Amino acid sequence: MKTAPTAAPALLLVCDLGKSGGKFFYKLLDNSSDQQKSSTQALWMDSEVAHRSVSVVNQVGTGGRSQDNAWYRVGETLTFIGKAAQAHLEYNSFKEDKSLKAPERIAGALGAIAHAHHLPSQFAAVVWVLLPIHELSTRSAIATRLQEICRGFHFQDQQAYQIALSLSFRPEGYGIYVNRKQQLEKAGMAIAQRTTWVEMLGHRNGTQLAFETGTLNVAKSTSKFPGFWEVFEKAAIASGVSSPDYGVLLRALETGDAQQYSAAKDERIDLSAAIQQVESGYLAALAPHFNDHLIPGLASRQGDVVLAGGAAYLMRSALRRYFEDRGFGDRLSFAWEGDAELWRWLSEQLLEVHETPSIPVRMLDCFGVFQALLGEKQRMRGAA
Amino acid sequence: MAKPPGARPARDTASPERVKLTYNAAKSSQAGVVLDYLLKNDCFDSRQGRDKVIDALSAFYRPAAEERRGQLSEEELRQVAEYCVEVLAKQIETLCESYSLESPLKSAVEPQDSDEPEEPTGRLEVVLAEGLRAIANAITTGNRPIKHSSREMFDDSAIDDGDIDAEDDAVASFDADQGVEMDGTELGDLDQLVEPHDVVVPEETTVHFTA
Repeated sequence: MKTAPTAAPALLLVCDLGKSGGKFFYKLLDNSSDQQKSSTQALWMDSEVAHRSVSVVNQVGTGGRSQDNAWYRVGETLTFIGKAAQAHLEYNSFKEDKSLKAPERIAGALGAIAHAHHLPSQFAAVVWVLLPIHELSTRSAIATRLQEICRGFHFQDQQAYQIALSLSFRPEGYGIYVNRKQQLEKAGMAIAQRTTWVEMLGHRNGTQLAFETGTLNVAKSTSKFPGFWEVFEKAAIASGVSSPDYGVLLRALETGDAQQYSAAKDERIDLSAAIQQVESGYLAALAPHFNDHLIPGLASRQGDVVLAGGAAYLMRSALRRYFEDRGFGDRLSFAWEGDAELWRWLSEQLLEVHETPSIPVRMLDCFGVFQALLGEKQRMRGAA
Repeated sequence: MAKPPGARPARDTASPERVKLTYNAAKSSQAGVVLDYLLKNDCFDSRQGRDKVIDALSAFYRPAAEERRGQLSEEELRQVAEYCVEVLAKQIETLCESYSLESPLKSAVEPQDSDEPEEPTGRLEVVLAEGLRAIANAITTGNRPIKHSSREMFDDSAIDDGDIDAEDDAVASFDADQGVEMDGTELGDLDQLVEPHDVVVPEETTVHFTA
């Protein structure tokens, strides 16, 4: 099949495939006129993937939003992504296959976008994918599998797509750096003149990206320091807080109010000791990483620390005290601070924010990388 | 009939300090079967059995009861309800596992042979969501809640229209298409990531790329 001389619209897509959900930003471009066909859009898709035999295709519906019913056929296999996969996993007791999720999730997003925007059966897409820095070695396997799918798949077994891919990868945290660059530029400062440490503090583990005078120092970047949840659970048990009251302790940490009502005990309880234990435990767990990879750099040169991630939000007071006690309070910022308009725009973009208000914070890294992709296209257009 | 002299006055069983429940059931009735199981069980004593009765009743009705009593704040009442839901959910899961039933709850997918620990972030997510909702509310103008679009996300007409409230100037003025120009050296030793993987061109097609 040949395309028309005025080529099919190109799609720009950035993917951040988190364990709790897939974050995407995309934009359609009309190659022939080089005019924008649409503005930047955000997309959230759940993370599950399921495979089934084509024999059940008659049992599968095609209604609803594309991203909620994202599935495609390749050969004799149906692949379900996100909410569509959840339905099959729940009602049919199928186990989720986590071994090859990333290519399927990206293909699911490509198909959902193409279907929703009535793209032609053949089009070109520029796709950037975020990966944790310690998982970048998997990029070739992801690329091979994704290109295989994009040679031809039938979305909802209806529309056939062949997608010409230009695929590359960025480390997680890079988008936080891009956002920081933009913030500094608005204030008349150049990020390249400073060192920036991006610390993504997650539930399972943490990631540090060290940008020295505008360039990533891979040797000083890592994604293997402790996550929050294991420390939290140990501290809770040690201070006598049982699992029915974990939510109460989290609430106490978030609000700073140690006096909380326990529904399990049907009484108000004092969680001062437990709060202290969680904060000191988490900082103690982070201390080797900070002492080895961050504090010496802060002490010896000018630079800034940007903290991101859910654990950073929860422990923000303790973290702020930690850096202030060491004289680095004025060099610390949090990823969600600063741009109120960005926050509101992200909240407007997605219906899912109704149920999960933390989604905008989770989208910040992906948004930053998408801005970098837009910037690169602008730069190349200008050079042409 | 007059009470005999010295007789003790009848005990007031409706004392405001206590609530009493007496229930007689035929052993063959459904209630009788359940009560007999709980009160005469080799695995636990009758006191524990009575506690189980109260636990079950509380899981069902405590939120409504506390609401009527009116002594808890709205937040505390919500926490009671949350706790009861957790208790009920655990019992549902226990029954489903014991009797090989499909769970009606939307539970986490069990990974196959996964070497990753299960991520118990449900409570963490709830607390973070509440806190971030507070941040979102704080940075909007006054107490006005964040407005969410009611449109389907892939509604083309909504894309063309923007579907942004004209009164919300801050959102309308935000430029998500601005882009940030990076000078191309940021990734240092990871430069090879920037090089695109092979472009796949479907057979017998011509696809034009613009820079």
